[in-house]
Amino acid sequence: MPAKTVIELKSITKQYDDIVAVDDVSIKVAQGDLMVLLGSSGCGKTTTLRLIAGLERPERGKIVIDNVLVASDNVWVSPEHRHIGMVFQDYALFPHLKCKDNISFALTSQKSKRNRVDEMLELVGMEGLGDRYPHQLSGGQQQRIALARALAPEPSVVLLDEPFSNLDAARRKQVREEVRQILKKAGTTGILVTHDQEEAMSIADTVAVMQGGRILQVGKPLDLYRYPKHVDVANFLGEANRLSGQAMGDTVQTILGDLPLAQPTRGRVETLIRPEALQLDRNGSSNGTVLGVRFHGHYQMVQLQLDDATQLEARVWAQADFTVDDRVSIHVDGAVVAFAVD
Amino acid sequence: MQLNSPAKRSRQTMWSKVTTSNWITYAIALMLTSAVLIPIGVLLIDSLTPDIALWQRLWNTILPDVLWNTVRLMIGVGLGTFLIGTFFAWLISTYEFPGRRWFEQLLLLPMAVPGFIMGFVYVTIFEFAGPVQTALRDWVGWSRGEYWFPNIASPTGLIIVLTLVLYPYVYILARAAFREQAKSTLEAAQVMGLSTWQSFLRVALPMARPQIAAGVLLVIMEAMTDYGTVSYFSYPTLSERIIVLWSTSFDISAAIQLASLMVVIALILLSIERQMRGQAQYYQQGGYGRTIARKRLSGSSAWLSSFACLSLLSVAFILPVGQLVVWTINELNQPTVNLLSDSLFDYTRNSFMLASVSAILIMFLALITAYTTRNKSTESNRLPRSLARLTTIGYAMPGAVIGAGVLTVINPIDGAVTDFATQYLGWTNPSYLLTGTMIALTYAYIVRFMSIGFNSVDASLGKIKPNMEGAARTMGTGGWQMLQKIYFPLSRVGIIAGMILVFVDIMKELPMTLLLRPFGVDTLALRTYFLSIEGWHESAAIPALMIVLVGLIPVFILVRLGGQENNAS
Repeated sequence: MPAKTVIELKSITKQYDDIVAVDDVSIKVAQGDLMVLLGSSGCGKTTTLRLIAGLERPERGKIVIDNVLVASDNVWVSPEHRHIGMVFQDYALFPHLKCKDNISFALTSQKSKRNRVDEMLELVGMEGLGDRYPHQLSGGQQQRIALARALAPEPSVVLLDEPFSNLDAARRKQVREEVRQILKKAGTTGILVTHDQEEAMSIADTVAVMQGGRILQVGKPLDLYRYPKHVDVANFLGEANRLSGQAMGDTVQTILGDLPLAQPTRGRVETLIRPEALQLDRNGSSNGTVLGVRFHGHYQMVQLQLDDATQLEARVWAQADFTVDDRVSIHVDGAVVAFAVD
Repeated sequence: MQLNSPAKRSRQTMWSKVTTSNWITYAIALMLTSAVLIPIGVLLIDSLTPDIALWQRLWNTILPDVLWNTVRLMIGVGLGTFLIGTFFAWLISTYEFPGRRWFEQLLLLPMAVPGFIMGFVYVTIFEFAGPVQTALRDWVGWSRGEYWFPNIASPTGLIIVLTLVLYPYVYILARAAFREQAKSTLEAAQVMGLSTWQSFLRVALPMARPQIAAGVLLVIMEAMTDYGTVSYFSYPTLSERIIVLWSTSFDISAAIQLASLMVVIALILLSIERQMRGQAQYYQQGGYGRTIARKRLSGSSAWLSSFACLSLLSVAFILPVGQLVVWTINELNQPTVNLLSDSLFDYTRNSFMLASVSAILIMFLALITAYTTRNKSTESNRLPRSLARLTTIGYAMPGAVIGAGVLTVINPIDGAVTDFATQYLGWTNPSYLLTGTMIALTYAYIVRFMSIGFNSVDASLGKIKPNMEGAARTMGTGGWQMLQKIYFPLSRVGIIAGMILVFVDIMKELPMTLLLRPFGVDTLALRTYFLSIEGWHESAAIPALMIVLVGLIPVFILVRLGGQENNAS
């Protein structure tokens, strides 16, 4: 059941003077989906969002929202006519307006205003706080008002620019889940920008990883983590050990033995092994030594040195008790990803 | 982000950036800015073609004395305000003593008293015939020549008077600097074994240096541009001589040459001030830690601190203003000059009319300039914006210089218009259109005070985060609606504050009003000045007191803003 595409970017390019901020970006977001644009700062993800909103104008390419062409070489729909909701990183609440007036800012009919404001306040769990001014609210509450304001005119598309970056770690997880619920409940299509890979993984239906203004890969969070097509994607999504090897179709020969490949290939490759895929055992024929152990709470990272001096990291549970100089045998669990070496 | 060859950018996109609204922006900024800059530019061009013979004549007559007087005044007042301003700022931001919270704000009050009013009050109180010496003679039984009493109407007296009205500039900037210093920095100094006094000298003072220097420089510029006070003290400075040469000796070319010299000096001082301000911002970075916790003084040192603050406040505000009140009451009971009958109303109305019309005009122009050139971070905005910033020069120029510049620009126009009216329209004896009305004077006010209005509006527009405009646009707001729903409500405070500041500055203004007023038009400031040099101090007290009372309004605004800062931190 392929859902209808609501947002589509075709070969969008945006440059400032000599700097190409967004370089030939094409993405599609299906109705009701939440796509996360993930990348480090300066990768062009916020610019992409602002291009969709119409706050920036692309040099080349097309943008279609809800079957309407809003930007191309000869078409330009200004932001006030795009009917998009946007939540800004600094929330950009109007300090001279009460929360309820912020929420009703884009609403025109007086009658619908009150009902809709109450509805939105309830949706974001802020009933009764409509008469407060933005500065009287905490960061999390301001964030929710910003979201309510963006959703109030029932836009088909909501854009969120690092909306959780001003919240502390504990609040962030909670608000994140709430926002996802709210968007799903309203059936809104969304694009969220973040540099936090954990956030991207936990909230997104699809993730688009950006670097240097380009999209490296788009996919479901788990697919991206397991089968990155690009070594930078792999690194960005979590810690990874790298081992060089010789790919033989379905398997790859490495210092850790012949390992099954996730996608068949041939030739000289670099394999990528997640730390949690490494199994350590003190019994059996040892092929490595423990160099050090870092405790992280619910897991530990064990630094290992193979007998050929290759260094690896393994993630083990908190209960495991490896100590420095332990001899261990190291196995790889599951299939590994390999990238061809030039 | 990656670098790319500029050739990639097509011709078409470059042209599409210069839209109609950009041209309008250029045009408006250019028009307003040139209107402000032309009178100054005329003098600057003049300074490039100095009249050697004239300069030789000036050098052989007044110039060495006038230059030395000006420099001596600038150094003396700069030093005096530095010592008083920095000392009290440090005392108030580091120590806790009885009444500190009150003194912190009250020490700003002398800002409301114009120098020439402070000057005439002090001279009148301490001169030979004044109440102090008279009382002394009556009490001890001395008569004239039998005793020594410091001469208040001397260069030293002038420096003291100007120091008393100008120290708040240094005080307010130094106080902000000390307040911004992170507590941890001073604690680090103390952990390393420095006493409070040593950490002041070696840490706090050097860290606050850029702000203090900026404050002192501001004071030096004020001292250089002052006309009323130096003229009352018969102390010829550059600023004072320009007016005298122009309006008393009618030596117009000499006045213009001196004015062009002052333009150059003012530009140099202004560029130094700019540089220091930039440094000050640099120094402020990272000062977001906890601010200094005040150390509680006890016993005699606590009372000594309170006494020091009270003394300064008395000398710089309570005493002179109290004296004005007493004189006003006397004057109302037994008028010495029969001016209450009708003219008081006339010149009060003139002052309020001139100040309010000019203030409204200035804020209107400032709002347009600031809105059209506000920071949208597009490259096409840079030029109009820096042009708008240039108008700040007006405030650094002495009123006498701007008066001379405006007359230089306006006189030929005025003459041409009058000739045209007599020759072709057949008017007999037409009055001059610009200088014969308040138009020339209003124009001079705009040139000089435009930057206050612009900075005030620009600062409040600057607080509107770019994303707020973006948010409003995504919600369907554009064009005029944006101005009406977002910009106006959010910058209203800045507009009103700017208008009040301009209004008060015009109420106090002397030199430009003196040069450019239409014949027979008096203002509160002019009346105060004329009556005081004539020695009618009791009748001068009435307009003087009105000026001080109006001048208190911006001080109260300043105090309130300071209070908000306290609450916010």
